[in-house]
Amino acid sequence: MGEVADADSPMAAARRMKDAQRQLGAFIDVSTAETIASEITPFEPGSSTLAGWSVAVKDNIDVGGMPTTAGTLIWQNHVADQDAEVVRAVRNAGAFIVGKTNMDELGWGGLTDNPHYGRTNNPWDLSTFVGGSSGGSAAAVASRVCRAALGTDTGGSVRLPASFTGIVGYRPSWGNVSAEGVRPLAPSMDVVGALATSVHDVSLIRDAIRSRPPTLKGPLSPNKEAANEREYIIGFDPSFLDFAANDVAKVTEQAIASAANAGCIVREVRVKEFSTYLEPWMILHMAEPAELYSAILQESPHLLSADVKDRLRAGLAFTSSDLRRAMLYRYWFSARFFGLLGEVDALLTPTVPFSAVPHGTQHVQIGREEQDIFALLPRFTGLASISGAPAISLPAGLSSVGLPVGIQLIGNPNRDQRLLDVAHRIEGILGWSIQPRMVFGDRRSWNDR
Amino acid sequence: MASCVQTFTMRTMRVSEQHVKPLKDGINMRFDFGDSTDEMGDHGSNDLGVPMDGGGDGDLAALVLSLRSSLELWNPASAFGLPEFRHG
Repeated sequence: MGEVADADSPMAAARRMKDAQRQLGAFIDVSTAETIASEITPFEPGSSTLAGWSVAVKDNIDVGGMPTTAGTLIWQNHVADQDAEVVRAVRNAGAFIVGKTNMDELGWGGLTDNPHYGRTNNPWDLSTFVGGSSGGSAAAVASRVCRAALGTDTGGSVRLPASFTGIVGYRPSWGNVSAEGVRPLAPSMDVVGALATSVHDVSLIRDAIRSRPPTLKGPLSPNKEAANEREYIIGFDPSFLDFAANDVAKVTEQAIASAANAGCIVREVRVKEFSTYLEPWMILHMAEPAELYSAILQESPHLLSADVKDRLRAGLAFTSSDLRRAMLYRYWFSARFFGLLGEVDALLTPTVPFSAVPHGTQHVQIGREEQDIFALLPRFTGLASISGAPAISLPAGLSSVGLPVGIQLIGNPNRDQRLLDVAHRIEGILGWSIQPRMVFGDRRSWNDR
Repeated sequence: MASCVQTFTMRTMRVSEQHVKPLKDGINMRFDFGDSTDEMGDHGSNDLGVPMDGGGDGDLAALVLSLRSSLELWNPASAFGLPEFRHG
């Protein structure tokens, strides 16, 4: 695995964007892609860690000179006068920005079916959804339009679309990455994350964007055996599988078995609060945006979709007592969850209870019950969101209809390096190399080019 | 014209008035609807000038109530180990 990527061409990336847009709808706007590309002077290959990387940016993150809509009409004519700190960081590391990716309105959703900017399709099957809210970023990376993308993750918005599209999606520990120049949704849970086709690549992005100075040893720790370290301990709660569709449960079980066969220590754990944590999480996830956007709801409701208006009203309907209770629950839950995480290197869960489903689907079968997909989407990803722990989704297998299924690893807070090391190990064990049918350009791995 | 709470109860038929009352009060307080929620509804607007789309109101009220009810099952004092207090 090379530490420094081969260069991509800005103009070639712009052409891939335009080719892909009609079928995928991954970007907010591609009309100026070639003009933007013509103004880029790429870094010399090998001159820095991300030299020549093509990187897409979710449209709630400022890129100087480009619009930042955040998927709403509120800022449809807003052009950022400077880069967000994370964008400056990836540019300084040698990457060039290809464009802004589609997302759910305000980043509030899990489908990337935007009433103002259109729907993003899954490159594995255009009739299925891509997940969200960083769905445009995921579709662009999965279809090899660009090497990596920045997204934001509040309740799972990086990990969910990564799982649905068979790529890697990393959510850093809360507070580890600058939020300057990023439109907020629920600031106590918002983080900027990375999407790419390998743990190696998200590790390099993480090394560029994290707030602390990079380590001298590089984005991944040295070979574990050479360092004479113990094997990784993977925590797993078998009851998680009761909350997943059959094919997702099967892939998750296979991943656990593969890790154990390869020498990892699988430790059975019990997350006792798993059946109760989602409601307080949801209260906070609705109340924080409501507080932020209530003035817009009041003064310019025509700029918001009916769905978002309804959610804002619901967020405003919670009482201060509801919020105090939800906050207390969060501290109580986090303390217990961190205690459990402290006993393992990572907790393994499915990323999402189901694989991608056709656009417009409202319910999926979990066990004997039909369940609402909106309640199911954050089922596993919410664990890291409410607690601030880092998490990563890895592609692990295929569903019964040939669509990707992801697993999630949740690490100890502020020990992201350890989590990425574990993820790198599990990625190697699983050996995922399957690509979607719809790929634009070169099918070789980015590191083999 | 049905209020959002009335719409909600008609749509779901699962929640008694004693459950709906605090929710109604909560929504009134936050949106400052005044004395009667009947003044807003499917095609009306609240005092913030926000149109209330009838279809969504029932859903949002049901969601708020459901989330609140779930959280009320959790006892923070007990969770944080507060010893039981008895008067006298």
